[in-house]
Amino acid sequence: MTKQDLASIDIIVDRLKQRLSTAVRGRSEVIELIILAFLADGHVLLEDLPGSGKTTLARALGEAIEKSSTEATKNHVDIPAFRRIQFTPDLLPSDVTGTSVFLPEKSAFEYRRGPVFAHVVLADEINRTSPKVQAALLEAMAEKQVTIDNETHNLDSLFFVIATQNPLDLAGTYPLPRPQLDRFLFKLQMSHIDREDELSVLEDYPMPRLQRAATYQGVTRDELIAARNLLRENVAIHPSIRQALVDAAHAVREHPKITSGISTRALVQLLPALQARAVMHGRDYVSPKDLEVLIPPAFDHRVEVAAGVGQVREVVSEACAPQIESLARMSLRG
Amino acid sequence: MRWHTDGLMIFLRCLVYGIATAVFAWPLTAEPGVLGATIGSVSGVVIAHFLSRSRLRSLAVVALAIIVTFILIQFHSSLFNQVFITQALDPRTLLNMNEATFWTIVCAACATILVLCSLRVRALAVLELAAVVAVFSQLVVAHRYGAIHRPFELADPILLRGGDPSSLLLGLGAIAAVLMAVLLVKEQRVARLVAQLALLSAVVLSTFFASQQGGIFPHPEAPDSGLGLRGDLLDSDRVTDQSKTEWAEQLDFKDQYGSFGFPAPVAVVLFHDDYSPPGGVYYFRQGTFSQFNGRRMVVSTRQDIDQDVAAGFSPVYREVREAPSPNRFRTSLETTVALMADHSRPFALESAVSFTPANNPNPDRFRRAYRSESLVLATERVNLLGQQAGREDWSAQQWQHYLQMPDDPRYAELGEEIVAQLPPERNSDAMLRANSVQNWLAKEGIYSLRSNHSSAPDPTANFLFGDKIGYCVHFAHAATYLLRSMGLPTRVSSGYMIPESARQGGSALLLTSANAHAWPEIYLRDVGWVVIDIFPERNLDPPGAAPDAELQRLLGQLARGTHALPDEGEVIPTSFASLWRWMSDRFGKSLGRILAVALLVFYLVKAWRILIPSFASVDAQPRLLYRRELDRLSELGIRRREGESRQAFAERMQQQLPSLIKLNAAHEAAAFGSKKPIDPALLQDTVRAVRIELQRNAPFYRRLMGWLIPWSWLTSR
Repeated sequence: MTKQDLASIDIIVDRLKQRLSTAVRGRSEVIELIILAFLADGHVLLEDLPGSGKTTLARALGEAIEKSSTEATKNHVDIPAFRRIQFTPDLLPSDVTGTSVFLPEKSAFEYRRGPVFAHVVLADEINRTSPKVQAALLEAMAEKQVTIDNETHNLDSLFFVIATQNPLDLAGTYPLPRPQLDRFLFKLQMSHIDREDELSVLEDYPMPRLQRAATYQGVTRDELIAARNLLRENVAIHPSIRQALVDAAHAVREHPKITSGISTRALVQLLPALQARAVMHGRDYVSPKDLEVLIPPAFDHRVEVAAGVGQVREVVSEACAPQIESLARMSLRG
Repeated sequence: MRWHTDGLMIFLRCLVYGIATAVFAWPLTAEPGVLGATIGSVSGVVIAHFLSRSRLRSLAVVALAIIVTFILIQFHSSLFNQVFITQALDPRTLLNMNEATFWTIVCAACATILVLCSLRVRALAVLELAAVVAVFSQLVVAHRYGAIHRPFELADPILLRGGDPSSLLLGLGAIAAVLMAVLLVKEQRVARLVAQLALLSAVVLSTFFASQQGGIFPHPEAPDSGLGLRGDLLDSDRVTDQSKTEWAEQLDFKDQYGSFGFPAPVAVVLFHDDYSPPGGVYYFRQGTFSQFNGRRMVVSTRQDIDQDVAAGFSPVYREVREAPSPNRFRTSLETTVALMADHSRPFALESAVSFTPANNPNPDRFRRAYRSESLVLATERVNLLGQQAGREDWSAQQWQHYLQMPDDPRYAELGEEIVAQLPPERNSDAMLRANSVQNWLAKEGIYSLRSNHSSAPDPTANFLFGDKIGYCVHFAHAATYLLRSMGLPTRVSSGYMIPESARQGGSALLLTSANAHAWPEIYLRDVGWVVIDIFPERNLDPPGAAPDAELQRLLGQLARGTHALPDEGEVIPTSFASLWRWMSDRFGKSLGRILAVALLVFYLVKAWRILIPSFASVDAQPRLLYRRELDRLSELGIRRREGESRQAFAERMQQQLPSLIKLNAAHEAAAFGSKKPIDPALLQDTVRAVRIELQRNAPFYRRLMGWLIPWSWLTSR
């Protein structure tokens, strides 16, 4: 029975993967991690050069969420699948969260939802806007709610943010402070795609990819919510995996080359991600390989290395290797 | 890689600490104690290595180690004082257990603290080195000053087999140097390594050249005391131009008589017959001084004077020219002398008759050896009363020669004064006069190696008519002048003086630099030169060290050319082949047995790990089957990398062993809590698939080789 349930997640993953990989070429690793974060209810920060397909990717993900007739009665029916917010220096928090508008006919204020009320929100160039707008979005990301005029409005539970930032043009930007970076499950880097993939993008020129992607079947919101819950309950996390995760966090915090360590929140967020990865690889348990793969993207943006000691990723891998090793040894001990 | 270097370091440390503590504990405790010390220090090293990786503060660990040690020792002593323990065990076992546990505790604590300090604080590594060096140094410290039989525990086994303990000590030093070099090579920083290796080689080279100077085993030196025994050239700064070739064979007054520190052995005398001297003291005469040079007595320049000592070492038998003829007062005695220090001429018991060179029984130990025949005085001094002074056939010049003395009337006056106490009817007797001078000087003089006369124009007068504080040269000169003033032919002789008791009943007599001596002699008709030595009643100096009977016996044996200690019928191997045979005879069998047992154990474990999956429960099957296949991979040299997850390893091997991924998945599913039931049949299929892939990839001979490796299970991960 469990197996069948988990198989249903597989179907969802396959559909999403098909749509995304049709829309964007040569990004299979990033696509896998984005779907994984989506299933794990964590947000993603994409760091990339302009024109590398970030927006296309996010839009394809948003458009993959279809409306179904059975959901018509529910209150989230009017929530759009995808919204894109271009963050500019003059943007205001209300441009993100929405605002109260005075209605003369009713002599009362009415709340108008902002673009944040969507299943998938693309926060483009998030570091170009002022900290207060960043803060408004990040509150929404952490709490899944917005507060306007002392009134709290809940976001849909599917709410998923893909934020992007350009790593090069830093003039006039407001870099995200570390506590806010902590709210993203992964920070992903998208390098240039290789020659073959780039050529196939050009070959597909007459028919835009998003349109072609739309020809494949999408998934509904309820299916996704169900998949998230299934995942949480049915994928085993062995105590030794949890211990290894905590030990890895300790090792990173105490590593002499690392000046600021990672939060407990990061570990809590990582658990569903591990489960999601296990399912995506056809397992009903979390394996050490999941840890090995997911620790770097999850830890990278949360730690700060001392000046001049090298790449963050290498330092993190070096700090976590003993835990992976002890996990491997432990498993054979029985 | 890191683990390997760490392992090597731990192993080296264990080796050094084990040996050092064993060496340290050896003289202090019984065998179980030595064993306990070794075990304790080795475990201390291992504990410290693990502690150094922990997050405990070094100070806390050190404090903890001290407190725990204190508590353990308290517990240990109270435990062994319990009545039920003492009643339950026999005293021997009790003592052994007591020693073993005590040494284990103490050595473990010390090693832990030392190693931890060294690992945590690089600068404190010097403590470690100092401790090891100190342990080995205290071992050989007893070996100094020619005491070649010490330390007993090291020297005895070698001496028993006719070897030389010095070789063993040099070998130990060489091993220590090599170990130090290896430890230094482990040091990572190249600059420091170069500096330290340079320092080490400088130390080794300087040691080497220093030992080259005096041979590998440095020989002791004869006393440079102004007694003229050594006979090397005078220091050039003390010699004027015209007398540059003058030998140091002369008496000299010194304010600070060369204090020898520890008396160095300079010669061994073997008596061929039992002989007790009349005065209870042996005198070995080497040189004589009878010519007065205006200040002191020097070697005579006349050809007809003092021809009763050897002129030098001769390659053939040589008789002494003016040896006393056999008479009723003297008896013949042969001795063999083996010299450890260079001397200017041979010496013998007075009076020497002939010298014959002898084979050096042990060229490592002795400079040369010779046999001497002497006519020794065999009668009490009272029997010499009534003998006239001087020799009948002496010419007037010879008589004159033996009566030269300073032009100072005080000597004659004092001489008269001393003789005046004799009964008038006997006061012309030569022996009696000599005796009274001897007694007077012994009573009035004060012996001390520190005196204050050398700057005076006549040091003897300054001594005799001054504070009367001096040593043998002063007393000998004073007696000579007093006796010469009475008309008795007198001279000063130098050599070695040693009481008969030092022989300790044996036939060997060890002469040390402390026995160097100068004494006056008078010539009695029909008797020859008779020693009139003075033993001052008052002595300002502390008594010297007691003679070492063990060393005397040992060197005597060496001088005889026999085994130093009772022969046990074993011969120390000299060639490499015989050394190998000797080693394999002693250790080969037990080593072979240990190896065989180890091999058997290794193969048993290997077989166990191959067979156990067939008997295990279904739940354990995936793990055990996976482990078995890992062992097989390890046999072929295929291993997971350090820090690599099992799945990543399987994926890395995907090209050669695609089924390993499945097997690994089955193992990990079971290990990490998958709820899927285990399918034994599928598992067996997977294992078979892996096996087939393995056979396809590895040729038969490699698989066979892998099968034979006993330790493959140890390296599989």
